[in-house]
This record gives sequence, C-alpha cells and structure tokens, in this order.
Amino acid sequence: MASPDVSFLQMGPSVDEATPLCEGLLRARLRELRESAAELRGMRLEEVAESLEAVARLWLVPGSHWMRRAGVEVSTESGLSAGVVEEHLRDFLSRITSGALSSLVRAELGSEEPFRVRAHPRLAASRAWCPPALTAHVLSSTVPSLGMEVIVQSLLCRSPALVRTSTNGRCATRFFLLSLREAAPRLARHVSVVTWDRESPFLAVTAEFAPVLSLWGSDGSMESMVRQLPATTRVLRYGGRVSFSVIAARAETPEILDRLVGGVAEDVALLDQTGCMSPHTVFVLGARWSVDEVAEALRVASTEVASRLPMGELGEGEGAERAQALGVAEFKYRVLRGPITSVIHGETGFHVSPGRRVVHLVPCSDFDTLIASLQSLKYRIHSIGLYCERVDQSAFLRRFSELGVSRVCRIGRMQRPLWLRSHDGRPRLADVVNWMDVEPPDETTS
Amino acid sequence: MHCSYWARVARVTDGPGLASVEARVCAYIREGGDFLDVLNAVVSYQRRWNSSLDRFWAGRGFEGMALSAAEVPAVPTDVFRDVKLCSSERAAARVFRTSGTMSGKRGEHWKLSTAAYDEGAVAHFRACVCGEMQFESFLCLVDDPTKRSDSSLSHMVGLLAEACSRETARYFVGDEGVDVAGFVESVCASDGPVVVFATAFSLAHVLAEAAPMSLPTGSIVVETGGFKGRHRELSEAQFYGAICDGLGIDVSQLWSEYSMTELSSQLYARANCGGRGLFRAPDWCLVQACDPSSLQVLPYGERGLLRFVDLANTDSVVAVQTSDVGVVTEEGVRLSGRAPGAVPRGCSLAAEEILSGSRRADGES
Repeated sequence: MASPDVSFLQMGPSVDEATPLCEGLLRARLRELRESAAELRGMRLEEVAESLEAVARLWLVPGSHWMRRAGVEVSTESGLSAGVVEEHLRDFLSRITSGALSSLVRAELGSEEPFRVRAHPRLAASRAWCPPALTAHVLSSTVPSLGMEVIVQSLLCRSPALVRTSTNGRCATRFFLLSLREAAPRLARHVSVVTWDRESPFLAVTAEFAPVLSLWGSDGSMESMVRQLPATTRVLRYGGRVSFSVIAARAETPEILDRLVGGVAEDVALLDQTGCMSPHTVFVLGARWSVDEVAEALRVASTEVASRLPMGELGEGEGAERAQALGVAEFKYRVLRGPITSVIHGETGFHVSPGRRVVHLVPCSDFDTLIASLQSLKYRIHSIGLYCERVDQSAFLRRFSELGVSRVCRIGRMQRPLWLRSHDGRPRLADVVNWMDVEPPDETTS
Repeated sequence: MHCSYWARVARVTDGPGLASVEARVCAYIREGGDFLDVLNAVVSYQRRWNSSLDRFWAGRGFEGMALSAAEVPAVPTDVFRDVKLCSSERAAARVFRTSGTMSGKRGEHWKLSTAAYDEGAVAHFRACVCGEMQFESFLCLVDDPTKRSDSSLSHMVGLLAEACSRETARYFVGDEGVDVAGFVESVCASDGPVVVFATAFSLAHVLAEAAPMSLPTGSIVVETGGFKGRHRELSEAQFYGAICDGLGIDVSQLWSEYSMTELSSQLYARANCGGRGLFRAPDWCLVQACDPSSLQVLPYGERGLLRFVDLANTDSVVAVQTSDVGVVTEEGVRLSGRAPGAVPRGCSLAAEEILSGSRRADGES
C-alpha cells in the first residue's frame, strides 16, 4: 500500500478534501466511471464542447481565482515561475473553444456522435467509432496543461477518464477537474484524478477496468508499466522525445536575427525546457550568421523574455545537476552566460540541455551534415522549430519526415502547438476510440 | 618498524613554482595565518599553470585576486571525470580516482605532490579525533594503499596509520571482498587501543557476519561514507547503534569522516545517539553552502549545495563545487547527503535516455 500522502483520489468538493487512495476505493470509483459511460455516450458534441469552453472561460476571465491559484500552487509544485505557469495555461486554455473542439472531432472522427455508421466517400466500407468504456491516462509529466489536455481528449471521445498525475504535477489537473465541477457538473462526473506511487499496485487494478490506457514517460518506466498490464489492454505510449531548432539562413536572408532569437528565447523560457517540445539545441546552418552572433543576440533577447517569463527556482537536485553539467560545458566548450545561457560548440551534433534555460548553439555547414548528425535520433524527435527560406522548405520537410519528426513549426511557436495537432505524430482522438468497419450487408437481407 | 610509505609518496615532483606555494600552504596548516593571502597565492599559481582552469575562472568573471573565498568560482566535481585538472604536464606523483559507482565514469584528481595533503590529513586527524595519542594499530576495512594506489581514502588511512600507530596497519579489504575472519582475529589479538577505519559498507559486512566483539579500551572507530550507490537499509542512528553493539564501544568512541577524491582535506564528526554530529573542517578548508539556482554563497545557517575552498588542493583546483547538501554554521557542517537526483520534470525527462539508447543501438549495429 502506497503512503497516503502521495496517493489520493480526487473526489471531494475541494482540493483539500482529496481522499487517501486504497485499492477498494479505487475499484469503486473505476466501477462508477465505467457505469457512467452510457450517459456520457449519449451527450451531444455541442454540449460537451460548449461545457469545456465554459470551463476554459472560468480560467481566462481577468482575475480568475483558478488561474491565480494555479499560478501559486502549480508554481510551487513544478518549480516553474508563476508567470510561466500562467502564460502556459492561458495559451493552452485559449484554444479550448467550442468551434475548435468540434472541428477536431469532425476532422479526426468524421461523425460528431459515436456509433453512427458513416460511409466513406470513396470506399465501399463504412466505419463507426465507439468510445472506450473508460480511458486511463498515466502521466509522469509536470507540464501543467497535460492533465487538462487528456481530460478534454477523453470527454470529446465521450469516454470517462481516470487521470493519474505525477506527485509533482498534480495541481493543475486537480484544479481543472474542480473548475469542471463548477462549470459543467454533468461532465465532471465522468472524470477522476488520482495520484499514486510507481511501486503501488494501482496500475494493474486500473487496467482491469480501463480497456484503453495512455502511458506517458520514459521508455524504461513505460516498459515496466506495460509488463503489469493484461494483453487485452490497448496501450497508447507517449515516450520521451527531444526537440531542437534550425536556423537555416541564406546569404540573401534579411537581417532578422533579432526576431529569430527572440523566438528561440521564448521557446526556451516557456516551461524552462521541461517539455518535450522545448529546444535543447539550436543548429545554425550556413554562413549568414555565426554561432557567436546568435549567442550574443540571444543573450540580449533573453533579458526581455526573462522579465516577462522569469525562471523558476531550482530545487537542490536540479540545481546540483545543472551546476555540474554547466561546469563541464565550461571546460569543454565556450559558454555565454545570461538569462538564457548558451553553450557554443564547434562541431555539428545534437546535445541534451541540462535544462532550465541552457541551450546548445551548434554550427552546421550544410543541410546534409545536419541530417547525418541526427540519424541517432530517428523517430525520437518531437518538434523542430524551423526557419528556412521558402525555396528550401520542401526539401527540409521531406528529410525531417524521413527522420520520423512529429512536428515542424515556426521558431517561437515550439511551446504553443495548435490544438488540432497530433501528438508524437499520432491523432489525438482517433487513437483513443475503437473503430468498427462496416462492410455492405448481404443484398438479400431485407 | 614503519614502512616509509609516507616518505615514498610525499615527494614534491617539481611543478614550476609549486614548491614555494606548497610551502606556504604547509606553513598555514602548521601555524595558521592569513587564509586569503595563502588562497590568492594558490589561485595565482593555478591560474598560471592550469590554462583550462584559468579560462573557466575568466569565463566566470574572476580575474584572480579574491577579496573573499566566496569569489573564487568552484569547479564542479563532474569536471574531474572529463578534464585533467593539473597545473603541469609533468608526471603526477599521484592520480586519485573516484569509484565511479554513481556515474560509471571515474573522475581523476591529479596531484603533482601530496605534501600538503599528507600534512593536512594527519594534522586534522590529530586535532579533531585523537590528539597526540599513539594507538597500537590501525585495523583498516579499506583497500591496502600499496595495492590500490589510486584510492585517496586508502592513501589517507595509510598516512594516519603511519603517523598515529605503533604497528604497521593491517588491511582487510581486497579483491576477494572483506576478510571478516582476519579482522575478528586481529581484534581479538589486540591488547592496546586500536583505530578501526572503515567504510560504512565494509563495517556493515562485518557486523552482519561476525559475532559481537569488544575493541580494547581506548579504541576508536572511524566510519566513512561507503554506501554510495548501494541501498541503505538502516537509518544512520540504527547503523551507529549496531556499530557500538557489534564492536563493544561507546558512541563517544565513534567518529565519522567526510571527504571525497576531488578534495585533499577531510572533515570529522563525533557520532551521537541520533547519528552524526556536526562535521568539523580544518582551518585550511573553508566549507560554504550555496544557493542551488544562483550558486551564490549563503549566510551561515542556510541549507544549500556545499562548496569547498581547500588550500590543500594546491596543484589542482582550490575551489570545488559538490552536489552534497548541508548547512554550514560557525560550529560546523551538518551534512544532509547527496542532493537527490533531480526530480523528473516536464516530459523531456528521458532525453538522456534517448541519447544513450541511440548510442547503444549505434554501437550494436
């Protein structure tokens, strides 16, 4: 039995009334969620989408007590500054509009409602989607919006959701559930938020009730989790990915370096490089700008960004690791310290940042050299923040796609993905629901 | 008859200018003086002969004249794994290596001379632990320094044994593990006070395998942190209780030693019923706690990452940044152990895993 201070089930009317988790309680709640599935399946998309938009509005209204509370408590828990937490959540929640959510459902699932057999326009067969009786999401992330995102995802699929948050990433998800209770109590009945230790038996218990499980975390931890699951559980894995930026200017590229590094600074500062979409390395292609010029421009730009998005406090472990890694970098490479610290390299290669606003600046003579240096990251790259000339774009995209890159975006937008995005190159909703192909019936049937 | 172990290893190997600066450090160890003055002499020597350290300091805006010890940027211990931090290209008198248990890659502490190290180690052990007492013997649950010449712990224990005991030290740890029977036999054969100098790991091994025994009256036990990378099942207080019961000593006879390969000085704490007490550093090794985010030195009484300004690191790196956590007070240092591994944050927590996995895959293909 895990210790009650880290395992709890969010059932009470307020955060403070979270209930210590035990196996019996979890089973009872999982049963309730499953039994509520029929009601959720009967809810129209319009109602679900509008309810979710109403929740987002609760957070986005000026002076919102939810946002204020998240700014304080999520900040303490995650080590991000209140400014970064609020900006991150504002950005995420502003994209939860009824129109955008409905478009997402239509784009990915075709019909707005489950069980509707919808003919494919060009194929003989038709298909219908069916919500899982329960979807469980096991998160090990501290990215504040992730728990909110999977709740929205499940509800759009009309599947009740159990969200297991990490012990240091639970506040935002709990607050979202509580605000859901305030704005849309009918929807909130279909969601539970829990926290448990990795060593606890609760994952196996959850798998008895949830036919679909999404697992987030490192490959190692996912492997050990999957071993606990029955073969019939459909597992959606979201493993570790890395991201980087590419500045590929040509000689004729106008003087836009300040704007580009402003974007890099934003990508680095938002979430302090704790997200899988945060850039570790910036590759500087060609001779238009040297890595030293980029480093100096970044130092200037980072001052402005840091005033708007201050860095969070480091814990002892994080501070020690960062100090050690930066110290080694200072001996092996050149380091330009600033609100964002640049580690300036001489040879092409991807480098992992120790996080918390340390970015590697890497020169690269040409695109082929860049691609060659990225081969070891094949299928492990989440986002690339790209600046290149229009004439180079299609070649870049083709080669990135061959590397299995999930997403290419503008520099400065790496932490602000479009809501209609896929994650890790996979659809958000179509992956969750069960699909049934319906072929034409026997013509003799009446 | 003592072997001339100390004499063999303490010879100054003629780093340019090292003899004079080391003489100043040794004089400070013996007589005290102006810490800042000696520190600046060491800094000046290291800047002149260690170009990579000079670049590191310059990059941190330190130009070489410290108005306080806090101004000297500290080199993180991980750097010892990647960079040769030595003030000469000449052959070193000693290269001490870390165990590598935490990271797999061993750090190296190059020393052109161990003179300051040796003088300081004995002086502080006497000042802190045993005064001028001569023990009958040292029973050492560490590797024999003649067999593990790259172990700074073995080197130090060898020095202390030579300086503070009448008989040659006996070592009970080797390639075959801990020689528990040999240790017990030596304890039983001792009729005068002994020093048992042991890693916590070796002590735990002895306590688990041997029947309770009684060290001769006046003996002491010095335990040093040897649990790195291994699961610790007992609390500190429980472990100390087990040592006292197993070796038949009072808790007042139990000491704890703290140091690391990257340092040349040691800290000692007397044990008490609750565990280790406050560690006392020698005058030539200043301990400071610093803020994990800014690495700025914190006032006395505040908890932070520990950094050491160790004059006895004369020909390597005078200021060392560790990942250990503690509180520094005027009375001593309260150690809280290694900073916990950074709490996984965000969803990029597996970045290193990705790279190491990719490298493994590359190597296998």
